[in-house]
Amino acid sequence: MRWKWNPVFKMEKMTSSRSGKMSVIVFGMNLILTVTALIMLYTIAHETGYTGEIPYQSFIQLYRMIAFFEFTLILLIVPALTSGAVSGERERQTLDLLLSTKMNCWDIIVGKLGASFRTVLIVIMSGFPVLSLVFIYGGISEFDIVFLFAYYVITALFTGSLGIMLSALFKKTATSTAVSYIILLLLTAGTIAASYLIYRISYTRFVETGNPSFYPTAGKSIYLLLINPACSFYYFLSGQIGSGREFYEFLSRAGVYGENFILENWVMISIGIQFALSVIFICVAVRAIDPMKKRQSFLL
Amino acid sequence: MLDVKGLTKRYKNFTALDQFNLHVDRGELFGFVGPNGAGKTTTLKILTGLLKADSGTVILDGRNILKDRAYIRENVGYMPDFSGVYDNMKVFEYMEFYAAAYRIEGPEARERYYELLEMVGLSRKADSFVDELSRGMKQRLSLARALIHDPRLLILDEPASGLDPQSRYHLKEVLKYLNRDGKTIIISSHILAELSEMCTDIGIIDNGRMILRGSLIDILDQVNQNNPLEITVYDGMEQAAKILKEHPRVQTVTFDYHKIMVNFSGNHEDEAELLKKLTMGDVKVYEFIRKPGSLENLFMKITEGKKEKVVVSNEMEMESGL
Repeated sequence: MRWKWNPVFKMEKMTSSRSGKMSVIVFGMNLILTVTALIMLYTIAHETGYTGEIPYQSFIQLYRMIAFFEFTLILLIVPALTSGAVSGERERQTLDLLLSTKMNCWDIIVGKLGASFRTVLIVIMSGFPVLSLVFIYGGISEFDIVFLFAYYVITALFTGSLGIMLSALFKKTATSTAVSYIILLLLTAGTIAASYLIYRISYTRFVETGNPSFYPTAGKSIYLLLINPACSFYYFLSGQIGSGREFYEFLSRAGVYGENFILENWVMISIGIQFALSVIFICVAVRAIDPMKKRQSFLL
Repeated sequence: MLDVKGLTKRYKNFTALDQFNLHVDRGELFGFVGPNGAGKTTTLKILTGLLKADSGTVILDGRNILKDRAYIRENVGYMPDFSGVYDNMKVFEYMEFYAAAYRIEGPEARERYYELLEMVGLSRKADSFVDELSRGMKQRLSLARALIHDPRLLILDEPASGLDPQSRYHLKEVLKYLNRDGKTIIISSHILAELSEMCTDIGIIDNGRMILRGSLIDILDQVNQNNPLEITVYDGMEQAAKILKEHPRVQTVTFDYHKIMVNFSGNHEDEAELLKKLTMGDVKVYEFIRKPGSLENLFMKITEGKKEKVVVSNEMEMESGL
């Protein structure tokens, strides 16, 4: 059977390539990355000239910085790309036209998600040459880059499917975009704040009771951070360029935690949860646009 | 071809369709008329599988399409009142995209869409960007899009709304051509005059119910029969008055010098009988006509209580130059 492109994906690919928006994003991101990397390289070369020592750690810092920069970019641009995917069709009054064709709701949602995904992947991959500067002195392997890329893909899938779902649930792009960013803020900063708040309550109780056998802790609420893509990325990166203890140090701010199965396999479990949630989000989006299943009153 | 029975659709407390029935035969160009909010778009959206009905059956070519959306996609073409377009897309790419959405690709798709663009008069605009087209051209492009998979039934929801007279004329001609070519077409509008020029049959919907349905000729006859007879008498007014007062089908008579207005409930044969009686009774009849009625009058009568909306549609007609 001949491979056929999803028509929605193909159309989005064509129209977005013409808009020039992507060229601006790629140029802007790479400009920032390159300037930062050049400044760092200059600093390293300058220091070496004085001390005669090459600060290898600086290259690792460069990797960490670029990796975080690209990760933040994913969190910021994916909702913007996806939260208007379906609501934009509604606003343009083209959704009914798509639904009246032989394409089913899955084709439409997957096509939309795929198109956003493609944009994100191009943006990320365009930054890899700068990221490869770390190979000059080593410390990071090719596999590390591949794993980093894989983590980006999962994050893009998670945030993208969230954006698509909200876009399908809300009538207006402005609403779905705003809700997307609010949910992402809750998932990243909100989960950390919630865990820390619970820890502070526990700590206050500890001070009030003065019971030395009572250890203040955020308890099981710490596992809320499993749905926090930024937290898991921090763990992932600290595993790549450090011992992984940095994450435990981070957790220690919410109490003392001994090693257990979840903590030991944190990144894999988090990826699993993000993937499962992505599938749920896509299913909800498909259901929301299906004329035979959707509930009109649910749309805002 | 299409048989709709007992279709009901409710939105919270509002009943958009209430036991709605409709029958459209193969090859008909059916005009679907009703004031704003009567349930036209709801009906059409259900027929195109874009809205779920609460109850009822919709049989298309012997299949209940409410349970077989694949059959709708295969056999129904839909053109909404306003078709949105994508930025940065050329006319031929737009057609290519929808052809692919209907699983038509390659040379077959190209041949098909160029043929359709030719038919709607847009072949010269194939390389233009869609968002640069005028509204009339966009509507014609939308019509071509709705025909890309060669559907048996074409459903058009107020296709002429917002179009200038020239674009309306062009659209009308294309629809007549498609109908002659064997396509069954359902076209909705709130402007009766627009439909009366091209439809073979019309149905009037109000408050979610089909209140009148038939061939245009029959309906016009029915309209005319509700209008008064206008008799101009040259001589014999007294005899005429006597005959008319005694006639069982005459309801009211108004005299105005040589002119008599008669509310007469009868068909063409009854009218002929009355004329015969008058002439036999020494009445010199100079003129005997049934005052021609308009579909608008009928529309206003049967959608009584919604006169404001009808007036609005008349204003729109005037504005659009019809």
